[in-house]
Amino acid sequence: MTQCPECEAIVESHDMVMGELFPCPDCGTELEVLGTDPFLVQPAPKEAEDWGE
Amino acid sequence: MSDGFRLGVFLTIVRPEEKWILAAAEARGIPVTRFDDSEVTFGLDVPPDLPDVVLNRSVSHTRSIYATRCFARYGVPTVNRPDVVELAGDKVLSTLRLAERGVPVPRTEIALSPEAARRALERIGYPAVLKPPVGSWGRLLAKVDSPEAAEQILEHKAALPSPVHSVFYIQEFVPKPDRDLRVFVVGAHAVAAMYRHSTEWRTNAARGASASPAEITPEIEEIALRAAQAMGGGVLAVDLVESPDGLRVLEVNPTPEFKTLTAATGADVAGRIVEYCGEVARE
Repeated sequence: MTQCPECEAIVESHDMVMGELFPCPDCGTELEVLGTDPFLVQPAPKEAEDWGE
Repeated sequence: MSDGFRLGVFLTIVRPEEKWILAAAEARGIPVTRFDDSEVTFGLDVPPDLPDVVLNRSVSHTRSIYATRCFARYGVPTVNRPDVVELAGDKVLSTLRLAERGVPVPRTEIALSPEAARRALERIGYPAVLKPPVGSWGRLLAKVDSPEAAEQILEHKAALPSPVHSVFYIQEFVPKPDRDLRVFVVGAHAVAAMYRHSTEWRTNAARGASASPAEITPEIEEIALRAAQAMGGGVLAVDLVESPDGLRVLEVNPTPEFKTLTAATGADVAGRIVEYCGEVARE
């Protein structure tokens, strides 16, 4: 487990993989998995203008 | 059991789609190399230990263009091919190609200045839709209801820093049911389709549209495959609208999302993509 960098809530990995996006269960901030062992997260990258499908 | 090829996945972030692709490869015993689009560098010499094929899942159109070109330089095929990425990722270029191939699209004009855009809007009539040439998820799309609205929108567009905002893609607003249709094409097959419902005029899943499975009728299959082939083929999502005059292609997405489609249809889209990558690797 680790802490949300925005609200410091405890967030847990549920078989997450590097780079996976998920919302913080407390504050809803979109987070990105930065490491799995140890489990680390950071705010997800901001959407750029050329992002899309 | 490995399908006998090594898969590279070039990506920005891991959404459910990428997670399913990685899981589908693992289930088939296919070794995967991940290339993070914010970390990778490309030298001019061919590096060792390259995969047999690279699946592009980057959400950045710009990074996708250059990365697929670099992999091509290394002799590694990509899904999709660099020319398909460039073409389908640009609404102007892709619409020109669709028109050239006789694939029905809504009436469209391209203008290169605000003044020319005003004239194009007058010709097309109101309401019309103004789209940026690059980008998706319904971002920066504008439904232009009147000349007054056009003045404001064009003024705002002109103030944006990127020169690409001075390219105006103007399309007739197609009166349609509160839904559009997405057909997912993998190689020569339309593998799944869904209706996207919204009371808003934009029906992107990213904007909260709901989805339901759609039957792939011969008519839907034919237009979707023609649109995909016009782009050069590969893994493509063809967005269609039901106009009073029949189906029209709105756009063809070169790195399509399929979370909503999978939920709506139950289709194993990720598995089909991985298997198609194997076909490309063996070509």
